[in-house]
Amino acid sequence: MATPSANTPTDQEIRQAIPQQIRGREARVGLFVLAGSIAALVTLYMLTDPATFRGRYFVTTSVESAMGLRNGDPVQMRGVNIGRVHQFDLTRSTSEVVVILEIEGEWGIPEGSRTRLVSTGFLGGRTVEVVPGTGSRVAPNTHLPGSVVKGLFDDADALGERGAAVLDRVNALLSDSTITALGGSIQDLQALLSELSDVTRSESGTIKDMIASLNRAAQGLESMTAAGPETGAELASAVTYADSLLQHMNRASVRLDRAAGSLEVIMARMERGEGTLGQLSTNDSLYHTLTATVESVRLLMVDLRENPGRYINLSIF
Amino acid sequence: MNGNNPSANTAMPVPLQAVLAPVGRVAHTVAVHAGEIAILLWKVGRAYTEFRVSVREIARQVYIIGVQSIPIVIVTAGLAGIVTSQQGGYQFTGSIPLYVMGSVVTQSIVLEMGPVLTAIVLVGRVGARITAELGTMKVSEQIDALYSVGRDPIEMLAAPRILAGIIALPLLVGIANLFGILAGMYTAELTMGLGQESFFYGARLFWHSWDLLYSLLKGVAFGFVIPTIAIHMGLRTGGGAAGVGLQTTQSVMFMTLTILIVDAMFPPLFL
Amino acid sequence: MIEYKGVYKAFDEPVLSGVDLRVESGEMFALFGPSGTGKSVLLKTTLALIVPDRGDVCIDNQSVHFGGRGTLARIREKVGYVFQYAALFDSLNVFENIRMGLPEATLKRMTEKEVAHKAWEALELVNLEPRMILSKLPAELSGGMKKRVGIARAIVGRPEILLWDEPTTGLDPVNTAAVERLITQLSEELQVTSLLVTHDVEGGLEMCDRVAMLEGGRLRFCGTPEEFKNSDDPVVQAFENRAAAYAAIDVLDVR
Repeated sequence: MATPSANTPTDQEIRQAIPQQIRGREARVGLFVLAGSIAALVTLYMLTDPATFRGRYFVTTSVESAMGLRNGDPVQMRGVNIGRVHQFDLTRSTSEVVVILEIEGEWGIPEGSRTRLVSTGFLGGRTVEVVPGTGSRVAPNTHLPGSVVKGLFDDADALGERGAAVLDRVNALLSDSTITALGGSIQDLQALLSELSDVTRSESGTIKDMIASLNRAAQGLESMTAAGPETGAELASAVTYADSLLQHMNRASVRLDRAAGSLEVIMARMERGEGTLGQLSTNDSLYHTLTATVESVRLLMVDLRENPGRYINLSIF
Repeated sequence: MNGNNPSANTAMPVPLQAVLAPVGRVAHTVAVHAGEIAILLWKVGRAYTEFRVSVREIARQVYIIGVQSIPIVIVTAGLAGIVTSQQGGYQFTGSIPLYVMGSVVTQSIVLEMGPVLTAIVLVGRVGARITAELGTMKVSEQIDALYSVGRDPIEMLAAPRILAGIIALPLLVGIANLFGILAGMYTAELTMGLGQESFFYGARLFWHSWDLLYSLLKGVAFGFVIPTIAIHMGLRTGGGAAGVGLQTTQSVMFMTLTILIVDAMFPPLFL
Repeated sequence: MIEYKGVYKAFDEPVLSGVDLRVESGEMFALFGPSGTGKSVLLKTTLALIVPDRGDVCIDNQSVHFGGRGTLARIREKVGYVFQYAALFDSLNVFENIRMGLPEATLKRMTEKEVAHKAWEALELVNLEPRMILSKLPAELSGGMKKRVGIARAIVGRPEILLWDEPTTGLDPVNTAAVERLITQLSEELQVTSLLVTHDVEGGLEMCDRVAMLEGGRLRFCGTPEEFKNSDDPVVQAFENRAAAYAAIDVLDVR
């Protein structure tokens, strides 16, 4: 049996038995903690661009509404970033927001400067623009007057309402029924025009023939009236009457020509979208009235062609 | 009980039983885990408050969990930054200014990929190791041996590791964020021609300092979750070597799932 | 003195069904039984490594399970536990393993040199050459050496009670005999109370002052070795005969 002997361990043997990595490990742990902390600080520095080691000063401005401006948004003067928004203060005034701007020391803001809050793009970013004055450099904590420049997308509600109203009117203008009605009116008027032209062409030939035959008839009657005084007087009055009728018909023919010309003008204007016909697009009752009128005129012209005698009473005896 | 078929349960229809029984088992398992973790944390808390945790052991664990993980964390974060930058550039159209890429990369890394990828990497590297180590100690009676020599395994094994995780992970997240952003920045410069100034202009445009704190808070939460679950699973190991293997696998799944759940809880709570 | 009072423990099924046993101070006591009868479970309840479902264990009239944390800590300081497979701490070398056997309060009062001397003595007590193994890791040791280092760790704090959980299991006959001799010598030199859980019936009967046998979760026998050998209980006889047969086979293998 081995008893506890005088064979005791030496210091070296004891040191060998005790693991020695501990101190080196603790140093590495310390370095790791430092490295991690420094990494976090460097990240923060890169992303917030603090002006810790640069001279900086503060100025203030006030606006009615900050319009979504945030801490850290840039402050620019003539397009150059000269600082950033530092803080907001709602307590100094009940009607305005005081914005505290942090300006880098190398940039001076002239006296008489003012600020404008502008949008920088459709993503909604904001910038405080300093419109420089002409004086000497302002002291720190100077207050600059401020204003807000509303961009296209700032007053979205009003814009939306206006847009909606315009869209409503365009919709009405372009509604299917209106387009169909307008198209129909245009077609009808075109048909009327061509019919009037046809009537004018065809009837003017007929009327000319009638005038020519009436002239011959009048000449024949003249020769007849020369044969006897009573017959001649009656014939003379009948001829005079026929003459006046012919003049009326001439005038009617001329008026028809003019009417066709006017209609042509009207059609051209309509096709160009001008004048009263614009009203047609918004007034269906006017269309219906017009349609009815057109229809009546058409019937009249048909009847005139088929039964010219109904409208021109020529009585010799 | 049916004498012919002792296992027949005539009280509940079989289909309903088939559905409810697994649910009941899972619920029971979850409750058991929750209770055991709660007891573990209570004992750990007691060890801290009684100052019975060795600072030297904490430092040793910070070394293992933190210092030795630096290379893999840097590589992972760097790759995350590269991928984010390239994929973001691929998706950008002409209507968005290119400097916005700076914000995309930075926010992606800081808010999400830095902490979460670091945690996932550590689940495999540290969490599995802790479970296997403690599981092996459990099946080879070393845990009992600690009790027999008057030592508390919770004070000696659990408490230092949990505190080391809470210390090390936020630091690793800080390192991951930095390298992820730098990698993204250089990638954007090389592939899209986005200059560094523009990159950082875009990064600062949408930056809040709170985002970094949010990122580090995630690191703290994950640094708590990983060792806690790993230790809990290790200490309940049984069944020899096969049991250690099984428990380690389950531990990795448990840690990963918990990290993703905790990650999902962060935005509604802190953003 | 160790006293087991109605110790009951069940896992999926009952393992211990109310064990009452008393081990007097200074005696060597062996606990036999077939595998799975709860011998190791009973031993672990002594130090609250396993908590019984019912019953209690008292050491020198102090309750292990109901005395509170402070009482348990004091009990653990005066009890050394030798595990079946040594249970050395893998990440610590032999010196650090043995150092763990000293109570924390004692360690705080000692220098590293004094601790090293203590470890040196403990290794010499278990017939190991300290110079050779003090800085080695457990993975570098043989099975027998691990067992002895485990014993050294258990005795370094000069405990009053030693609990041996199958100290010779897994060892070859030569090492078995050596460990048995060691157990006897240490018990005599250190004047400790020893409780052995063992499959080695022959060795146990030779070494111990009293023996007991667990069967079906209950104490089947408790008495002197002579009483055990002469027992009328057929279960005891059958167990003894089987044990003797296996012991003979082991001896024949060695030859």
